[in-house]
Amino acid sequence: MTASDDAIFRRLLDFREDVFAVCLGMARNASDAEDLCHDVFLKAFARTDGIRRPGALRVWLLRIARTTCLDHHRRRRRLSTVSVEDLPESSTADIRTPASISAAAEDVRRLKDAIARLPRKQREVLVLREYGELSYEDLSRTLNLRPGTVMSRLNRARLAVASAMEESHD
Amino acid sequence: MINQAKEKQIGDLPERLRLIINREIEGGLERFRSGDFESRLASRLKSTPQKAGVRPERRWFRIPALGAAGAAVLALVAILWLGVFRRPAPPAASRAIGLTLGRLPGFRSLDISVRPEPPSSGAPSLSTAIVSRVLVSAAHEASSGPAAPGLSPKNLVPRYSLQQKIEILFGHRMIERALSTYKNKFGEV
Repeated sequence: MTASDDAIFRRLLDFREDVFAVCLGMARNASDAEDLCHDVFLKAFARTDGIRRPGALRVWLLRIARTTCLDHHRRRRRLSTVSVEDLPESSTADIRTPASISAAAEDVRRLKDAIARLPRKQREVLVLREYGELSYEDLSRTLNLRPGTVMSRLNRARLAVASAMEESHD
Repeated sequence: MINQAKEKQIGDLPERLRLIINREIEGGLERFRSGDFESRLASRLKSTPQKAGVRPERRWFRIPALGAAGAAVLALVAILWLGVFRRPAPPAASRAIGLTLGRLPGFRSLDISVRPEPPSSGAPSLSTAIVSRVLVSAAHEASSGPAAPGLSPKNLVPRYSLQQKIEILFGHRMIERALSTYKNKFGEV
């Protein structure tokens, strides 16, 4: 690894937690998210010649994260027929407070269940916004959509998740 | 500012949901930070066969879909063009001239003793002389032999409109091909 490679590696790693958060939103659990995060950085490091605007490195990385997660979902759908109910099961292990484990774990399970049930387009915009904390402009650039489309998708996704959470709570 | 206002309009995620998401992210990040992500990534980078900065090699079966689609469209256009715009079978005019030429005596049987006159005199060229010779010979044969319908000098060459003549000369080029056959023999076409 040359000095230049090392510098790029360091700069990319500055955004590792943002990438992890987006992967977490898309994945079943933290363990899967970490694996996906590795894949994202491997891909990103192999494509550093595609960096045109160093200032937009975070958005560029999150775009790679999005495509990596979508690929992962597609592959998993092809290989197995895991039901949606099974997806968030192991995420309960990430909530580590023993006293609140049941309630918190149940909340997370229902949230991930609701997100997993969203249509792909709504899911990606919701995850990038709520987990990746991308601005509307960045969302628009990342997904190559008009800002109005981003907002309407986000709104529909939020309503659907809230509604699903309410239903499962009742 | 505008986006923030719009965000308010379209409605935020309910506070409860945001809390759940934040809790999930915090829990995940705790675990993420405790793991040695950086060194594991570095070791994976070293062990991976795809060297950083080098794109994976394109395989032959990964022909770009656009190229395949383009070839298919071209083939379709060619088929349509042949089916729609292809010239129809030779019209009656070319059939008639073919029939007439078929009735003419062979070139080899002609007495080729005509010498071209110098071009300065403005007389017809050798090719014109051959054609006239052919016509005269055919007419003579027709008048001396048994009655051959349609071989009178008048009927030998049917009358065509200018467009038909152009089509025959330049479209079907039958005369040109007939004369080209004797190009080497006479040295002039």
